[in-house]
Amino acid sequence: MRLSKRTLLNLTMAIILAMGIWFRVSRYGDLRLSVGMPDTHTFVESANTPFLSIKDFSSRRLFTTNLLYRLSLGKECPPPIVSIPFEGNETDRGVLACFSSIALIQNLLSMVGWSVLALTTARWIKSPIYKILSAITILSFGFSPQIAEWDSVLSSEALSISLLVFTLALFQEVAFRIAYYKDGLYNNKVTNILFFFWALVFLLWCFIRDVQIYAIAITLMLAVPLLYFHEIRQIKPLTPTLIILGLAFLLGTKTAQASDRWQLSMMHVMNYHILPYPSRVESMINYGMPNPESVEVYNIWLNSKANKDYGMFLVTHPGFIISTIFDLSGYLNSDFLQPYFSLEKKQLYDQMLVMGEMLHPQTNGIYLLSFLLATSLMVSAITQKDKTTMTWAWLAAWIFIYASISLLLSLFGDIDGTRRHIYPSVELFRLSNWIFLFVHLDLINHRLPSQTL
Amino acid sequence: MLKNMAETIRDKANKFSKVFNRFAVPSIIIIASVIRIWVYDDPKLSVAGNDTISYVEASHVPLFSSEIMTGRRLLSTNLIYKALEPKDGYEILANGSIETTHRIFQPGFDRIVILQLILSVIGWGLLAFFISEQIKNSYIKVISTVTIILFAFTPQMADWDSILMSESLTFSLFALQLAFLIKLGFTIYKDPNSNIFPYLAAWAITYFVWTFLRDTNLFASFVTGGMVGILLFSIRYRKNKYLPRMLALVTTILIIGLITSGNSTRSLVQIVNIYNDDLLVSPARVATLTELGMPDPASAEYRAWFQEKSTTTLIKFMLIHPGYPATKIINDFPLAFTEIKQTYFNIREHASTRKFLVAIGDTLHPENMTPFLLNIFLLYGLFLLAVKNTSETSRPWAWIGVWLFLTATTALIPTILGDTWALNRHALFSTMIYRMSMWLFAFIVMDIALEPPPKPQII
Repeated sequence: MRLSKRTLLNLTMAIILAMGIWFRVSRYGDLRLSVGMPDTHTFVESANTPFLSIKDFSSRRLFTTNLLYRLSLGKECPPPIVSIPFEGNETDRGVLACFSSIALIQNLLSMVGWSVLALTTARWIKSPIYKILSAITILSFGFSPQIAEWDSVLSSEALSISLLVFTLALFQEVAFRIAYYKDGLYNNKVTNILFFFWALVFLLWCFIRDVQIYAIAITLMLAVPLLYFHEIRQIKPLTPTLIILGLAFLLGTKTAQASDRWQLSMMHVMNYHILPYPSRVESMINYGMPNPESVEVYNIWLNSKANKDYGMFLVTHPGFIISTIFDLSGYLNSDFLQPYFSLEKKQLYDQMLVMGEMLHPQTNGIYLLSFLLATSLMVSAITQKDKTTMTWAWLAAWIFIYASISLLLSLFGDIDGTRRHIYPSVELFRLSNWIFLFVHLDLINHRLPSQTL
Repeated sequence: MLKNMAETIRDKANKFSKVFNRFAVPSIIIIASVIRIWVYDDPKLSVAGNDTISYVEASHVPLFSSEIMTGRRLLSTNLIYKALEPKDGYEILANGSIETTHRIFQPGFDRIVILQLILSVIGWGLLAFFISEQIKNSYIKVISTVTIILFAFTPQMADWDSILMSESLTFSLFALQLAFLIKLGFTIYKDPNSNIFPYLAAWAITYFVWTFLRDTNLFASFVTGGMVGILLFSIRYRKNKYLPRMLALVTTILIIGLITSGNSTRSLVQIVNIYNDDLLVSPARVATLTELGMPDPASAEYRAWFQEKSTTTLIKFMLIHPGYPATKIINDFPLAFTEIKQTYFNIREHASTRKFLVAIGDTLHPENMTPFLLNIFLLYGLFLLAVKNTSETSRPWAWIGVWLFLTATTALIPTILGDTWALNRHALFSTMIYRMSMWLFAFIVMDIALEPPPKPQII
């Protein structure tokens, strides 16, 4: 039986996917193993808030983790095994009642998310060899220890990464379908369904961490101008979805402001970045900060308006931003391996780490490369004027802007747990380098030679 | 009127763009070179390493003797140290191998480090210039120039110009001969019958001097000979009378190099390390070596045997047990990319500027294997493009890219297998190529991606 090229390609992709999932399942131990960290108890307690109440968004943790923990935890749950690496108390993972389902869900979401991202990225790349290479690279990226081990940790990082890649995958699919909506190449009903599904996953992801809510603003900022084009306006689900996103953004920002979760971070920031420096204290006083020596008044301001005044300080002091980024640049090229447990040393673990180091380069060069690749795509979109390039350019802009803003907000939003907070943003930069590398190679591979008439 | 105004603005922008293109790149290179000299303080300061004395002593052999090529050090450093030695000789006053120290004025060596600085500035400046000539997009031209200059002038590379060993000359002369090779490649590609003699002569001299800096540089001649030989299969290039001469030159260099390095004892130092650290510690390996004729290491015959037969025995051992070299390469390959910064001296002057430059250098010199992987993907893309020939510059860039990658790889393998000490420093040449190529190929790919769509040609 002779197989067509397309069938062979699909078969190859299926084998790659199957091997990737088999590797992921077999190399990291029982998927139900989990370990807590010092913040895990806050996720457990926050899950007791009433479902879909305002408190569900404004408590210590946000809606999505509350939902996950609420679904998984019963009334009689044992405390999690907690690992405290900075005290030298690392511990092994364990299969614990209640928490085993959380670990299992995190692992499954991770596998699904990375697999779907590999498939959708490959789908919209034309050249068969780059389809295969991009799929292998993305799966290797997502299934390396630098990412996979976090799925056993009971905190928000695993969900942040897994739902982010799932969102990105759906985003890619929807963006390309929209680009070719008028051409009728794809079933518009399926596109509409995918659109709403993307919105659902996207919102679930946004409500994991406060900084992720700003992805809604970025999406709106990049999507709303597209409504200028008639063929985009004709896409029925688009406008209602953008309205829903707008409302979600308002909900997110209002409940974030009403919650007390930013207050501890703000105290850390003030104590580390501002109060030790008289010139910065003077600037903050100009923006409304009371004299820190008036402790009562200062504390009231700290818990009510400090975040807004600090935001104004950041916007008007770019020198502070640049010098602080420089001082903290060591975090930006960290390895991001989870520090909470040691994986049982199975065969090939050292090689997995080496492969992971290759795909997650610990260098600030990724930011330069990311900027260059994204800019190149955007300029190409203007000069080439074809839908594929334009769509990739739009996605590149979204990824670059979101990764940059979330990184800055995480870096300046707290000084405690900085490495953990910036981890999703840095990994997004690293991932985007590989994706847009293959996009570039694919685009130049399909340039037409000069036509002779 | 609006249309006329728009056309006027566009014409002025195009004129400005031509002026900008002509002057921007040289200006960047000149300004960067001046800053490079200023930031690294007094160019006469230097620091020695444990190996420096061997360069001095090796240069004392008679000029027209075989030892000038078969001695402890190779021809090029022998000639340089001989030519620049003052009447009172060289004086080592600061040795950074013992502990990290500061550079100082060391009589006689000021001439060496000034030469190293001059070659570094010229080599990297010319490389950036010739690369930018072949890049079409104005912005990529400027960005690539800035990147290559920063790559070379940040401490990760520039510090070596103050160190009295062979690294600085290896990097600088490599950059210089690569610059000429790029010029040659594109000139021949555009017009196979063009007169390439001036560039060929410049390349030949630089390449010869560079080859005889280190034994592992010789392996580049295998690659160069092979790559030039491939061109001669094409009728288009066979007509060029200089290409066969280029092949003959490279072959001659290769033969001289193989004979002289084979007759020298300088590799014995490294072979001693391999035997002591890898082979003699394992009873199974000792048993195999004994079967191959090695006497008992404790016996009196061992020393004489080692001088004569240790190298060939090692090669036979590797052929019998391919697992040993394979494991060594797999284990040491990732390590080769790490710890690239020199540890011989610190600089106190311009501390905040230096800190900034180190951070820039860290960005451009990733200390991991990612450049190697990126090289493979980018080079594959260029190769595919060259096969399709949809871009004017893809074929010469693909040729140069393959040359770079193979040169780095063929030099790295004997570096890993040939010693157990100072892997990071010895592998610096190869890892430097991977790191530089990562940026170079990325700019080439982006430049091609930014080319406007071809206009139909009417015959």
